[in-house]
Amino acid sequence: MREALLALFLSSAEPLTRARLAGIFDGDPGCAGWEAALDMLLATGDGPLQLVCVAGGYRLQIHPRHNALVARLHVEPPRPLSRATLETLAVIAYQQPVTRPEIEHWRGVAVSVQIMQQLQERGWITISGHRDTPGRPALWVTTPGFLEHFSLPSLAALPEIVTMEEGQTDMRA
Amino acid sequence: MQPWGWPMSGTTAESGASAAPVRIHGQARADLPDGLFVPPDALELLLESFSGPLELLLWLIRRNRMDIRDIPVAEVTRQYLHYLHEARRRNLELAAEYLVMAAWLAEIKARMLLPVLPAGDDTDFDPRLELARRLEALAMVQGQAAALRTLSQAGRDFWPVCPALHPDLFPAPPPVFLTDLANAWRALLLRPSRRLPPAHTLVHPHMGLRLRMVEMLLLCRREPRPWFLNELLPLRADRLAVAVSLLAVLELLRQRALALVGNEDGGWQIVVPAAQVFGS
Repeated sequence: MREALLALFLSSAEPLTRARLAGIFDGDPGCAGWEAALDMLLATGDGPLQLVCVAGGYRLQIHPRHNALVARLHVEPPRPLSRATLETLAVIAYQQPVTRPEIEHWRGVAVSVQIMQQLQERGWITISGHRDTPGRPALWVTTPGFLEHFSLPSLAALPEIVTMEEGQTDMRA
Repeated sequence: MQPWGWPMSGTTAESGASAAPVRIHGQARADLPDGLFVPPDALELLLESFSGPLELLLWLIRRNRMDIRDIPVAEVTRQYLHYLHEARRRNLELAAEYLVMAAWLAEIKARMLLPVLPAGDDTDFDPRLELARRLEALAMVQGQAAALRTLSQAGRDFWPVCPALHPDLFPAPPPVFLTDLANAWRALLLRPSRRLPPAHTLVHPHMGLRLRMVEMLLLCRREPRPWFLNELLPLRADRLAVAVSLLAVLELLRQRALALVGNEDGGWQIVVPAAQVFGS
């Protein structure tokens, strides 16, 4: 069973949800114990691989104990995100769905087209609909790709906000 | 008494707490806040690192350990303007928003100096409220961005297993034989030939609507008398030229470069409107 699961995860380009796995295994009497095997795999991993929960599904990744080695293979690290990009992404992630004027209001500066394009090209944000106000502004949300990149099981797992103010714990939303 | 050579003294800076010692969190301070020290070459770097005036303001407030909800406006304004002044002195280009913010700060201070209306439902209205709200929003976003920064990222802190992609196999092509090809070619040859759609080549002198309009207007202005339509249309010309001329007349009438007048026979004629005769 363990091998069957590994085969599925290794061949899947996106995280597999329990529902998806159930759809694959159901009706196959030989695969009755797949859920127990999945929990086992989650707990122990397999060799250099570990199974993690991201974007509502499960995905294999290299166990962090090999990070130093793997980093040597991937010599060029990805370009770090600029502060403006990170702030824009933060507004969308924490306040979604938001319109562009709302992002600008939160940040106090105009949002550059390049940043929005960059975030879209990375597949982290998308338009989910339009607000029913004059002009019907587009509503921006994060994608499952965003959760996958930041290794988050769901949006609820976004980290608590670190405020830089002392005595500002009663920050209003 | 302006220690930083402030050029616009007498406006905002002096209006508030300038005479009194600087008060921070209710504690009087005789000396200047440490945050005001500007390293000589750090300013360019500093100002360029701010994405906007709100951020500069928030930075100042944090440097001075002020409370966002209880901003000493006069003091913050003075420091803010000091940065702006320094920037201008060094010929740094500052966006207009920085000046808008300065104006806003001045306005807030001015409104704080006004006596509070004794009655009314907004007795506890603080002119600093909107500014505080916006600063808090920015502080929150910065906190959120900092929180995102702590997250591990794919390709930097962890590496997902990259599966080799297996694209679906192409469906098998339908069997095709040489006879099929020959038959297809024969069918093409036997297909009734389609007639090409008639094409009209437009010749410039006939079709130049704009040119014709200009000519017509010049003609009418040269002899400012009522014209009959027949007189304006070319005599010996093909239908196309007449049609274009008619179109030119109609267009000129629509644009009110020409006008219609009635005559005694109950018919009508075309004239140049009076204002245009004298105007041209």
